Amino acid sequence: MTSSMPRSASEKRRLAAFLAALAFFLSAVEYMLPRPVPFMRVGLANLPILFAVELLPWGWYLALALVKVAGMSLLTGSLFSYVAVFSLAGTMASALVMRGLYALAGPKAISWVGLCVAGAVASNLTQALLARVIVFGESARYMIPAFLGLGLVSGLVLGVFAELFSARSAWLAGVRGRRDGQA
Amino acid sequence: MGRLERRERWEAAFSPVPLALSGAFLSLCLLFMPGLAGRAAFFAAASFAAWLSGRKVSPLAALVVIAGIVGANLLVPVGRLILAWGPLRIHQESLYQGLEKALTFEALVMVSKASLGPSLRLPGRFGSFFAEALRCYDRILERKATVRAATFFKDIDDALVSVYDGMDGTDAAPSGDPGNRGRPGDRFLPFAALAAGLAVALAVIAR
Repeated sequence: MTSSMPRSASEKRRLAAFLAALAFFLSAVEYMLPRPVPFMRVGLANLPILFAVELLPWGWYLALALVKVAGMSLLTGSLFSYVAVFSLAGTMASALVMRGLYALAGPKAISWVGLCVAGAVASNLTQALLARVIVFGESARYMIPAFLGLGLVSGLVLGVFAELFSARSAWLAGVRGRRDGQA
Repeated sequence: MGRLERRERWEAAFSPVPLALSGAFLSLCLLFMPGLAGRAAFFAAASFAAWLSGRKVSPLAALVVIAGIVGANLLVPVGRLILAWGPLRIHQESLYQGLEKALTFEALVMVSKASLGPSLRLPGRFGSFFAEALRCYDRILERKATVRAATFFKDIDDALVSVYDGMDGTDAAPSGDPGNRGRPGDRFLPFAALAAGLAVALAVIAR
């Protein structure tokens, strides 16, 4: 993994808008996939946030996470529901943990898989705690092991996908190359 | 009438902003509605509106979510035991709380489905950034037909390169957006909001 932030403000905005659009698209793809359990999902829409860890500065990174939640909630029609609250809490927890780990460990010390697993576990744990308050009550404690297990599995799957995509993607190489050209 | 046709009619009948504001008000009313009957009525009305709006509504998925929430609440016994059947124990307060939470959860989803759509434009800098992302999303959708399972990685990557390079950063929001002009159904929205507000007020007084 390498560090590659775009330099100009317009380039940052363009990249953030593009990553948000990609998150909407991946969310729509995931929406069409069958789910064995209503709350279970791989989290494809988190891939753009994962790539943004190295591509965007903090401000645009957080704006991307917020736009991703607002956009997905609008497109799936859940903005006024608890689903949006769960989505916001999970996305922000995952985004902050991934970005924090990246800042602490540095780009060479942590892989996409590591970031993904940490983000997914943080997201699922936050949502489980929220579920305890909003819908499940005390019974939520029985679900926490399952939530953490699902986070681990989905994080691993998404992390491996991110590693493969990152190694082969001409688009990602182009964005990184543009930054290197500007530097 | 098919789902897409219902969606077109719904979008032609209501402007996005008044519809979203009505949805926000109805969501608040729902949260203040006391008692199970009121929330059940709200859920039924919201489900019908969501169906009318042409959004994807799955009764099976809603039932699974409701059963899951009620089941989880039954795990912690609260109140009088009303049914014991083998290992299954149903306590009155646990059942009541589970149903109330489940109906609220699903009713909020239905209100959102009926009142929100991608044509809604948010105000301010965040809104313009959001609109830029939505325009880019439309471009990605235009390219999705070129993605094939056999060459999935390459096709996705080609689409990303094409859309990203096609963004020149000067995309202005379309002027005079027809999405926010008044539409015939808008005059009914204040009455729907008023009716919901009155229902909550009466339910609170009757308690």
